[in-house]
Amino acid sequence: MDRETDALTAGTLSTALDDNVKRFRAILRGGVNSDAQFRTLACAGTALCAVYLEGMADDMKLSDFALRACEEHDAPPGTVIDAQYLIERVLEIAQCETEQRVRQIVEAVVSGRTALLIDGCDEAVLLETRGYPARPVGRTSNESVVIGAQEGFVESLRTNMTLLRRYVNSHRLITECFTVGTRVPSHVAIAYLDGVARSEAVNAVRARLKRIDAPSVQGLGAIQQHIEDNPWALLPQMLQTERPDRAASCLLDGQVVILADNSPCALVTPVTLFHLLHASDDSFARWQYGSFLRLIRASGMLISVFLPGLYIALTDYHMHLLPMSLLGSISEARANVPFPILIEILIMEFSFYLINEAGTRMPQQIGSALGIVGALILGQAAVAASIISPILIIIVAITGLGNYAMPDFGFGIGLVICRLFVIFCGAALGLYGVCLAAFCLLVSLCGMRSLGCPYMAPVAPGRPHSPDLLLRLPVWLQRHPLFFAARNSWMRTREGDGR
Amino acid sequence: MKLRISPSAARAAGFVAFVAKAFLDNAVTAPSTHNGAWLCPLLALLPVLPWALCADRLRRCGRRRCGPLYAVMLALILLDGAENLSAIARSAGYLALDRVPVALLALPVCLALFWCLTKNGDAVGYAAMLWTRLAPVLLILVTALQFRHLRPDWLRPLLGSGWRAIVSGGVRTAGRALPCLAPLLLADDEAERDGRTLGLTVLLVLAAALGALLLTLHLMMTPTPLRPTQWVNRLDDLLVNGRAPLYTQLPMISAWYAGLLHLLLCEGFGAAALLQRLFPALDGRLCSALAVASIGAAYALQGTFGASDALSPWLYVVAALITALTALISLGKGGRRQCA
Repeated sequence: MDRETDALTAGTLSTALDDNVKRFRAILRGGVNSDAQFRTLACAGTALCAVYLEGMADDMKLSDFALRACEEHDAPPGTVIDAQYLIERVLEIAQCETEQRVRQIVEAVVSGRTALLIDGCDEAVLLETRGYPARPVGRTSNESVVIGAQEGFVESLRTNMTLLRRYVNSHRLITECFTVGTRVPSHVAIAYLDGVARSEAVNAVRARLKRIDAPSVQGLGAIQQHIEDNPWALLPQMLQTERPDRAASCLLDGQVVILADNSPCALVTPVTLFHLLHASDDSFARWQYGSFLRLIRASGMLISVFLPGLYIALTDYHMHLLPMSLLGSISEARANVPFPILIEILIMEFSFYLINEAGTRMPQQIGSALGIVGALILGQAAVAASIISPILIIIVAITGLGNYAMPDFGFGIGLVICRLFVIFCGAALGLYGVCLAAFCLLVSLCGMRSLGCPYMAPVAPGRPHSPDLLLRLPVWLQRHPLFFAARNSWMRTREGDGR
Repeated sequence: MKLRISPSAARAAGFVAFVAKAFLDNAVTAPSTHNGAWLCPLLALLPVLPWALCADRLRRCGRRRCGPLYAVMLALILLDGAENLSAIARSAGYLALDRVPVALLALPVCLALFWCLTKNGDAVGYAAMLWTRLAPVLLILVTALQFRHLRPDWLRPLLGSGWRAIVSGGVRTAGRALPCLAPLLLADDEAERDGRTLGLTVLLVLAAALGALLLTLHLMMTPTPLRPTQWVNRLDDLLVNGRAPLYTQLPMISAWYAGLLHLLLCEGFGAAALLQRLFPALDGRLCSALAVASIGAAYALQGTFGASDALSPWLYVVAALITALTALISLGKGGRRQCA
């Protein structure tokens, strides 16, 4: 917005309808903007003008329940038609409110609502007419589960809030709406269970959202970067989920959920490292299966970070620690490879993630070609040409599988960067380097916080918790609410009756 | 940045460092007590416990007039930190990088130490807490892998070189352990509280018992050498005992490095935080850099005061005297009321 528009949006409405319409035409560039609509009508002899954006507002809703109602309304002579009168006697739309401030009216119109300007009245009626096309609730694409609910969040903030309410049927569920972005505002909502989420956590989220001073904030990814505790840390400090059931479960644990318009997922905060290793399947399955899956995932994480680094350290520096037969096969496989192991690993890692990235971006119709390229060119041909040793392909493949087992996308990428660090340390200093790298990563993790909560809690520091961390023991043993919950949370009471 | 550590984190860091120090000292650095080494951590408890309780009391009383005590503790930490840094560098040199100058091998540890110290005290303590969860797994793994090769008859004679050597070893261990316990003095009650901490006495008793257990296992793995040996030979005896397959030593090597790194980190934090207490105007990162640089410098000058082993028993005496004096002055000036 330029200075001229800023001046126009400042202040309140006047009582002259013509002046107000002129003002809105200037702000919304009525002559140029083809979707800015100014529909004049009359209600019992009083001139009105409906201001809305075509496509953002639902035409049918507007004409059936507002425009027609106004035009067909008969008022006794001498009746003063003002905003309050229209809301109480004429309009048939449930959500209406009066507004005097021009900036707020413009923001409402831009978001799909309709402003009804009234001649002789310095208040407009804002009608809830949002009806833009949106994707219906469908299956999740990145967080599929074998059993359990299949629906995922969509791009509409309102629909997402409704989904959350469906999963948490409690009058204690609070959803507060904000706008972020100083120039192009975006709608954001925070959801929490009153009396369960710690008030410090809710206040912190609220304060951090209000503190964002960027001109525009597009999507939850940008919001996350604005409000996280350690922007330089490799691993995410918030959980992104596209599953309403998972977000609901976090709400019950006392966490705060952030939703944003045009983002088909929710942001959960605070979280710990252990949350990033959990998947919805763990909770749906019986405890034995859930625990087993979690152990597999935790092993996947360790393999993903340390296996290539350990391989390079052992084969380059500590051959004596390998069993003789294994050492023999490694040496035989590497006999014709011209590169040092570090280069070999870097080539393979780079190729692996190149295929990965290409697979993510390329159209589905030609996706099968990628498999051919990956399997034939990078696998068979590289080995045949003695560029890569077969054992390294196994190492990188296992590492990649370990990485893919991570339920959180950002967490997986963070682990890849950690792995590169371990690889370089292992290549430079052997096991000494791997131990140093692991130590640095461990201390960094321990120093991280998510919305003020220690990242490695409830292990370090110790906090009372249910047996639901690395293992998931039976549900009837899980009597402790998560330590995120308020001390006097009503979820801690036996009745759990929402007192 | 203000260097802070919560009481629970300080206790965890002190616990891990005490165990690591007791083991390192009695198994590799100065194994003069031979088979009686396992008694040294237990004996060290007798002088260490009153000191730790006194330090804890001073902390709760507001640490008034502690300047001289801080200065002495800082000097002890630099002396001991250099030993630990040397142990890490020599281990790295022994294991694989024997052609790299040992001084150069100390550089990555110094960088890692500085990086870790910038994460502040709670990270140091929480990392130690995590290590207390991971270490038992490694310990069980190591014991299981070596179980067939453990020889209980190597524990005899139980008192090794005799009572005199054991008592001397106990006081030496106490002297060496005091710098590890500096975080107890520096813990900050305003920092995050953790409801599930063990009492200080229980914690130190556990640490001493664990140190004794580790030394007992070590004594059952390796026969007592008949002649005085070099540091590297003793490390070699620890890691390569000639009976278990070499690849089974991977968890032992990991545990060895991790223990030493936690020990050094605990002392590094102690040095940095003491520096900041002595010179409050200094930023925490600068104090961390100065602490690491000082430990590095002490390591570089180690040849000058190579007799630190002989000094070890006196370290405790000096620190204990200054602590007792500080406590007396502090409590005599109304500190008791403040504690109440």
